Amino acid sequence: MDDIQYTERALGCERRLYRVAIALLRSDADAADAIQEAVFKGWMHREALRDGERFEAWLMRILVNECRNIQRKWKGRPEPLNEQIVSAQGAPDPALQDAIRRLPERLRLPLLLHHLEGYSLREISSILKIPETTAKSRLYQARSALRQALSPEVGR
Amino acid sequence: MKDLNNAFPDTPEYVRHAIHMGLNRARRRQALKRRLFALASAAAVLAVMLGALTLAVNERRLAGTRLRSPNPGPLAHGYATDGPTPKPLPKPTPEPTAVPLPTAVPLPTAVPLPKAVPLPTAVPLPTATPMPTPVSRPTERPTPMPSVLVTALPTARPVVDAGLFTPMPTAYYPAKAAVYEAAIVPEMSEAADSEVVEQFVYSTKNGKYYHGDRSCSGMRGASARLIAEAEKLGQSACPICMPEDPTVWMTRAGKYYHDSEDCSGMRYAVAMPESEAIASGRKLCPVCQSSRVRTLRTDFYSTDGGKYYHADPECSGMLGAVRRTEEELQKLGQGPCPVCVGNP
Repeated sequence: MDDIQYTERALGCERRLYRVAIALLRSDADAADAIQEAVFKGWMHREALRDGERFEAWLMRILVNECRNIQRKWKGRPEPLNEQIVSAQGAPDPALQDAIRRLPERLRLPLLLHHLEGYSLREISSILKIPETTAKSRLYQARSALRQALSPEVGR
Repeated sequence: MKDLNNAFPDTPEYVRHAIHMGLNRARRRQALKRRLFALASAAAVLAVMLGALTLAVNERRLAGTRLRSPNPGPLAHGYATDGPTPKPLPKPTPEPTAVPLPTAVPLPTAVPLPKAVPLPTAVPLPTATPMPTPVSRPTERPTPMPSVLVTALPTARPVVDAGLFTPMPTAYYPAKAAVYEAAIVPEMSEAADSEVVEQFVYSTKNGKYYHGDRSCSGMRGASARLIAEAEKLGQSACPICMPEDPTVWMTRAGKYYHDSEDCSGMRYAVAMPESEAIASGRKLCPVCQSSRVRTLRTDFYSTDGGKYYHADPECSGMLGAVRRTEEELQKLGQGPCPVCVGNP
């Protein structure tokens, strides 16, 4: 994969990169750092990608790893302050955004990757390095938690 | 189920900016890698060239060290010897080059010819064993000393009938020059690959040794002859004046060559074969010479009431000297003559 192809495909999945990064880090600054580092590492090791059709999953895996690296750094410093957390005002459905943000990360990420980004259970297990059954279970739990969080609204 | 996409706002501009920043960083890193690789390649090439240069310089130094080593081997300084007797003997050439030479300027009598050719002199030729004929001829270039060239000999040493050869006037053959003729005449040395220069030596008819110095050990009545002739008479090389070409030492500016590297406190001496030292015009150091005489000789000359013993029986006009062994001299309490034996 040459430089031009890589650039085009990376820019083509910028929305996905943003949603995963922000879902994991909840901070614009950290999300930007994670995206930049993921694109940088992906470009440096682009020759290692054997199947070009799996580029997005491959880049997403790098991004998740970078997000976890940043989360690891949080151990030395506090998590992003509330004002630093991306505001819900820009979202079309602030309640849904708030409900998703309240989900624990282990449930939030499989939910986003499956229902928002369209990855299969096998791809999710590959990206998150978890068994498929675990991914399926977490997906189920996430849906239940989200349903419960949104139930008053749904029942309205 | 609700559309989860509504939970996220539109993609902010910083995402695209972050992607471009990551790409630019990666491209800069790649360029840096290429530059470093080019630099490393250049450094490697430079290191290899430097290593080769150092190796060449060290080899030269090593060669110089070998030359200066106290006991260099026979091949250490590049001078090959033919065997136990390094005196240049005629070497058999693989292809006999018995080129008929113009006989306009033949040597007086020492021209052995094939049997078919009638000899100008009534000299009996050896007919029992047919041998390739040594052809004597004058050198093409005029050289200061006449010489006899022996060509195409299948045997290791030329066999020249003593009766065929009449020695040249001895005035042409200074003692050392005759011995180391090949070394003195560089033109002859160049021809030595195919043609070997026969040497002239001095010996008496009944002597045990043949000599390079006609006055060696007070010898009188010696006549010049080829080495082959002398060996045919059962004589061998004098260990005093014709030792096997040993390694000697000398400095660049020195007048003498020496048997030891540090003779007389000498420094920065260079090793070389004695023939080469002689060819360069140096003489044997008197100290080393006396040491050689004392080492090799077992008998000297002295009178009954004399104070010294001598290597030369006529040294200092001495008369009535008697040949004595070292034990006899010790009994008489005589010391070495400072003129002909030298100080210990």
